Amino acid sequence: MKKIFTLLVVLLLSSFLFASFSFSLGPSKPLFHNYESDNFSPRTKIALVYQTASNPEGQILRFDQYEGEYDKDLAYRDPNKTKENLLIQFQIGTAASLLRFKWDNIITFDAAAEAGFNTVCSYLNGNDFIGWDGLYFLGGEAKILNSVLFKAGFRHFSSHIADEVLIRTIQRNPGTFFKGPLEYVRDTIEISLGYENEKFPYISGAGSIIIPLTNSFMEPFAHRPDNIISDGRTNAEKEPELYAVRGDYGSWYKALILQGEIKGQYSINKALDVYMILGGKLHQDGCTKHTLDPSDDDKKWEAEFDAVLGLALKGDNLNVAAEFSYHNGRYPLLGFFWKRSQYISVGFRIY
Amino acid sequence: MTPLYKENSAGVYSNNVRFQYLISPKTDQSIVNAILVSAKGDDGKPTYKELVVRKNRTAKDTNFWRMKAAFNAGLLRFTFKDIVSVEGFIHGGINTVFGAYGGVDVLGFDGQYGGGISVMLFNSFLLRFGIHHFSGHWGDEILADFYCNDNPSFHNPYIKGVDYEATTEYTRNNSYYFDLGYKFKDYFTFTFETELPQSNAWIRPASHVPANTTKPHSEESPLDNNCSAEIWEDEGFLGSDNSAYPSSYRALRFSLGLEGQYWIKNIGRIYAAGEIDFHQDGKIDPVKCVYDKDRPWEVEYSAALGFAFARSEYDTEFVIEASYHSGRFPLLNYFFKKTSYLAIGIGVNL
Repeated sequence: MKKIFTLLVVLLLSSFLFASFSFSLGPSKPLFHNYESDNFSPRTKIALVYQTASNPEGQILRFDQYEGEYDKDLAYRDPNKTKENLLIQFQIGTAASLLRFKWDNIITFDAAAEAGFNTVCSYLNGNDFIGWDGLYFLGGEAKILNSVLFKAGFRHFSSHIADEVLIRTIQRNPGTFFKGPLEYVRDTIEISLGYENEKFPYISGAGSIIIPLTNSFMEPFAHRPDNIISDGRTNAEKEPELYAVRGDYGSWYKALILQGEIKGQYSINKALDVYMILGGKLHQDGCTKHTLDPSDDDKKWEAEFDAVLGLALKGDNLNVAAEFSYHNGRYPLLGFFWKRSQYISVGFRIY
Repeated sequence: MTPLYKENSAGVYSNNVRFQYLISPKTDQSIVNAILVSAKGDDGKPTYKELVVRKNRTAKDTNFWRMKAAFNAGLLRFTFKDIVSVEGFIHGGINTVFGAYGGVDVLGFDGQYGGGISVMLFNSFLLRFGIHHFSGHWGDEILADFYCNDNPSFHNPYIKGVDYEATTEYTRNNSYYFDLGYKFKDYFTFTFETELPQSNAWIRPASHVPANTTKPHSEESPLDNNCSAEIWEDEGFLGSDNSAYPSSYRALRFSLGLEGQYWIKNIGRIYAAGEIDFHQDGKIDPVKCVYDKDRPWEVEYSAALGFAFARSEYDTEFVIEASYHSGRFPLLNYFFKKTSYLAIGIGVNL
């Protein structure tokens, strides 16, 4: 705390001593915008989702182990029903710069934070919630020559299965007591590089690498690299039964994520923007096929693709956009990472 | 986007972003370690019970992390001079609380959303009409503890049909808003808010449903039956209903709020806010699960003191805030849990 206070004082004094420096506390739009096409980037959006394909199909939960079986699927509703193809995605999130230090137009540094929730519920089936994801980021951002963006910090992902799904799973499988379904948890370091220039606002983009921390709680077990120390214990110590089935992956595997996005934008007039966003992700944990079975592992990363077409109404401090989206990748909830999903959606986003 | 009707900063469910550390008194009363279930009373009639999920929680485990992400936004505004402004608004968000102990397990999630019309007259008088949805959800980790039986630190397994009939929830889907406010320049805002559940609505738990409320029809349940009978059936008591409740019971909520602020040019505003909430469902006896005319409305008190960094009232605000709450635990499904806490944290007002 003392160091932080000293740094703030130094920054404040330097802004007085050198006219070309400025320092500000408080909210600003972050230098480095969130990924706008990514389901797991904190954003504020409501959308109606129509799932055109799903693998596996059905309304099921997957468990690491259940009654001695590994990678066990249990239905929480009639697995033959396909009604769950209509979903509502509800996301609420924000990103803000908390401190800004600027040296002319040469370089700007921010301390930035992002936080949000991502949820999905059935459009039918009593609007039952399927899951909740918690997301946050704390770190620093820089913009150099008003064009080149850099970002680094700590990013957290955490999945939660909704109570209505869990209770229905218990009801459909009476006599069995609950074992936790698969979860998706990551504590990571993110490093990103991007481009955005207000004088040429037509194109912007960014790319990131997301690296799990070695000392962190990480789920599911099938995704854990060999070097992870969870609760102070190695994989073999922490989960001996699961480790006996899975074994080591080798040092090449770090559960990395590579992510990128490019946005094209055109201002129709002072009030309206139209834009198109293309985004994608590569998950190294796809090499595990999300199973404990070592015989199905390969070195093929799992890919996701998103495309968004939007029309934005610009406001005084926030914009509202109508968006049409296409997604081909993982189901739009972290806890269902094992389910591939292809969908289109229409909705509104505030940013 | 900045709404005409700004909600009170002290309101537990006001639509803003807050990340808080909650500190409750170190007493057993402050432990949050139970799920509310419906069960058969000694007389065979319905009752509610708090079933403890872990044996090993102590009075040290009474601090919590709270994360609320919500927004309140005006969408379209029509203004005629300084006489009248009319605005369509939407708001909504998610609220969650984690134990700041053990595995930092999530205790629950709340969803809320609403929308309607706000009116401002002579830059002073405020009116707001609309609908509001409230929905409580248990956290998956506390449910896992509730159902699990293979860890010695947990309770012995609860048996459905013996220890309980069903887990309960808190839902208001949907209620009408009728809100009034008075803004004295940039210094004070006084609000009086009313929330009235619709007569055709999903309301949980069963004992809170007014007598004549019907349930909305849906694909799975097409008839507009009596809502209390439907929810009692869900809670394991087929044939029960709340027809004996008086018509004056409508599961109303009222709140009174006062917020004062002082602007420091180009930096932000210092503010102090207070809110008192009144719940008519406090008149429901949680043991007998019946309306009791002698029980008082339940009252909650909340206060907040903070600094919001912003250059004008139209900016997004970054907030540093300390607050106090005495009343229900700040998750909808834990309405049965009375608590008090001091909270410190940061936030954003969009």
